[in-house]
Amino acid sequence: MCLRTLVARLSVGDSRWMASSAPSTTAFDPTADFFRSLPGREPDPLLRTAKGSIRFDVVDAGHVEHWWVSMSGGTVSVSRGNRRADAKMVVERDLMDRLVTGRANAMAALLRGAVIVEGELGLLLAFQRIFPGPPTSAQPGP
Amino acid sequence: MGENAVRILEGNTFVVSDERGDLEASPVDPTGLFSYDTRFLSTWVLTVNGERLSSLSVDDLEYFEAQFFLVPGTGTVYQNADLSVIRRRTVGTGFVEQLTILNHKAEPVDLQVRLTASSDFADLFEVKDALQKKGSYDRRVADRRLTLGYQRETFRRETVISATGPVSVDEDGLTFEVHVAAHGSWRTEIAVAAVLGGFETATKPGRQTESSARQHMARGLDKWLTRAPTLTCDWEALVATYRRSLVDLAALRFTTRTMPGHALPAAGLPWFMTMFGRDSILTSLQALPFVPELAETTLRALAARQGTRVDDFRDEDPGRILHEMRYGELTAFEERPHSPYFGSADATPLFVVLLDEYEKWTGDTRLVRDLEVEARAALSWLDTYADLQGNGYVAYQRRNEKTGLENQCWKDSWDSISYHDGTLPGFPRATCELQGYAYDAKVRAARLARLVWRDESYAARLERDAAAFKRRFNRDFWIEDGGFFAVALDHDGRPVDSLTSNNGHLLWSGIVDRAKARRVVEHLMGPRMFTGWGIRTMAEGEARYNPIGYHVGTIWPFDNSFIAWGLRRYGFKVEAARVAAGILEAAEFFDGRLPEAFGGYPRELTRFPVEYPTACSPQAWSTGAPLLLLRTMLGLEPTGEHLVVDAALPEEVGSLELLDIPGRWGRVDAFGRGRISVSGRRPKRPDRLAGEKQ
Repeated sequence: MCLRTLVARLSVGDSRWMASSAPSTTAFDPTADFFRSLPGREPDPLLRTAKGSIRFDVVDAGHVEHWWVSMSGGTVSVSRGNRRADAKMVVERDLMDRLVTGRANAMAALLRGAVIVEGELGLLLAFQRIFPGPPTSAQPGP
Repeated sequence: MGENAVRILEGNTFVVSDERGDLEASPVDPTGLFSYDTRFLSTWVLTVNGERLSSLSVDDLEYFEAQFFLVPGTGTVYQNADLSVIRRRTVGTGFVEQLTILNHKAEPVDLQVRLTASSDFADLFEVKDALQKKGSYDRRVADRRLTLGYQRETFRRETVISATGPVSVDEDGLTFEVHVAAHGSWRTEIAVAAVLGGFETATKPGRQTESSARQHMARGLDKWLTRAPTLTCDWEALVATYRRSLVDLAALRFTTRTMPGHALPAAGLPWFMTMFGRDSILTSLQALPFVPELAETTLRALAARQGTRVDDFRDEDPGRILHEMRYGELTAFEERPHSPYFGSADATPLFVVLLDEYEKWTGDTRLVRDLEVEARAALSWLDTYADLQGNGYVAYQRRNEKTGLENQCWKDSWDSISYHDGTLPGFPRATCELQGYAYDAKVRAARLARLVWRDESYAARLERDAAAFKRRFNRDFWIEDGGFFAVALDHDGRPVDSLTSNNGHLLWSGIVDRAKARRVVEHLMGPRMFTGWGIRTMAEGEARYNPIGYHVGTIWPFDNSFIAWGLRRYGFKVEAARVAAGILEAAEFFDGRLPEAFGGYPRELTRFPVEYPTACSPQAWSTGAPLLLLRTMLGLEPTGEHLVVDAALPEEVGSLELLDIPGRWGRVDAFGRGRISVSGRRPKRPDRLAGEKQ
């Protein structure tokens, strides 16, 4: 199913797609690792001016996993579940894994239509600043 | 695209058509409807009873609309045409076209009016480089609406065409069966919407009408012109140039999707209708005394997109300010790095320079507070990631060797940085003006640190660093025999010894030792560089000098505007007035719209400025040049809560008034009278220099 159809269904509240998150038991889960690491971080100056919430609807083989992120003063809190948010991003699991590990770029993905954003785009623009750079890029300078 | 191309635009949407209003794009020319770096219409041809039309006249009503007066037939002689066709087109998110047909005969006529449409959905980069498409096309007719589509994986772009009134729609266009009464008229309105999948523009198809779009734009332009200071002076051409600059600047306003209602200057039409770090910052600086709000949006938009990670493909580093943002297919699929691309070494220090200059004019300390983290990150970038030679100077070397930029300074063509003998230095390169900007950034940031960030130790450190940096620079870049600063240090840290206009930027930045300034000015105003119209990018006598070489001998109005500012900074008022007069006189030859660059021929030789053959006009920083020259000639300088005026105007200006200059003082007026004799002639001898005071 394409993301667009999925978005349409989500917005009309199709219960099949509102199903609770798939249990994630796999050892390798970069998306979950990333979100779980956020609350423990020092307040991030890159996020200090961002105030609001983003819900990530991560789509994986017919299941939707919800990650609800709230930013305030550089501190990020995270919860699971299908809560209302100021911005919503719908993204395939594989792409989300690549975004949070620096192997894909959020802005390019947005232009490509590979992620779909509704609501305040500025919040997502702010949030994506904490995604890492490509692991293959050399570390010049300091 | 012919000589008679008609261009109208709004934000990053623009239409380039022929004088009939038709679009018939070839793969490599920028004809068509473009939005977000994608061509949404490549064919748009009007016929009446199967016949093409001829143009009687074109009226560029405003930058965002044009009116085409047409008659049926393509013959060279129009004999008593029975019909008139008027197309009035307004650009918004897409465009709206009002089509009117007047019947001049005493009996009614039945006509078949047709618009043929198609789109190649070319990325602007593809138009530039003639590349092939990788996705597939589709066409759909539904609800009396034609949708042209392009799909590549998840990437979707659509052009939706609809019309008011009875129309029959097929996959190739729209047909109107029209009955026009004797001496009657018929009218319809056609909307063409550009739709970005997953990234929609605000306007949905059919919502925008021609009249609502036009009213919206006209109100915006009127407000813009009303809020800018009023210029009156005896030199009428200068008033016209000033107005042209304000209107073009309004046309080049670009709104990002994350800051609706706020605009920053895009770089130029047609290739550069997007956010550029360098161009947006320098244009905002030029325009500060006139439209300060551009600077605020530029700073906020660039800060929101500041580099945060190391990414070789995008030449991104933490703290770096972006070079260029693009929205097209090639960027989306990472065949180009512009999402955004960071390969610019000057945007980062200039970001800090603009922040300080903006505060000096507006007193808006809130923005300075909001952007403290970004400003500090930019300053930190200068000392770390930019120090590629390990000697403390700001240098550049691309890490994206396939699609990145080789020269990451404003002179970005391949041969712009050369030794006196014409050979090219290796990388990394540390061009001199980057050091000037870095020095200025530190000095200005120290002021902001004290005033707003309340961090005395940071301020003191920045000042110490800046002073030491200036001492070293004046030693390492100075070419004693020549009496000027080297254009760069090469990969081995040795001076690249050609004489270039970059010396003028150093004056603007204040990094030049006072004792050296006079010799620098002698070069800038001497016969090797000053032509009577302006200062060449590279001095005559350098191996690569060419009066029509892009960065190696042409005159750039923007470059000259900053050099004039630099001359004033070091007290060379007469020289600044001379440069201003030359560039503003040149503007007269271009109807007030200065080109990107013009030929570096001596003024006596050509008598008029020879335009450099380039497709980019208007260009933002050329548009901003007359504004900065006005500021420079009037000697406008915000000092504390006041605006100091210290006019030094060329004679031909006569008396000049600039009224309602906005700033922290509210609104103030500036007056001046032209007393400096320049008369378009180049100075005969350097000893006519007015000398440094201040």
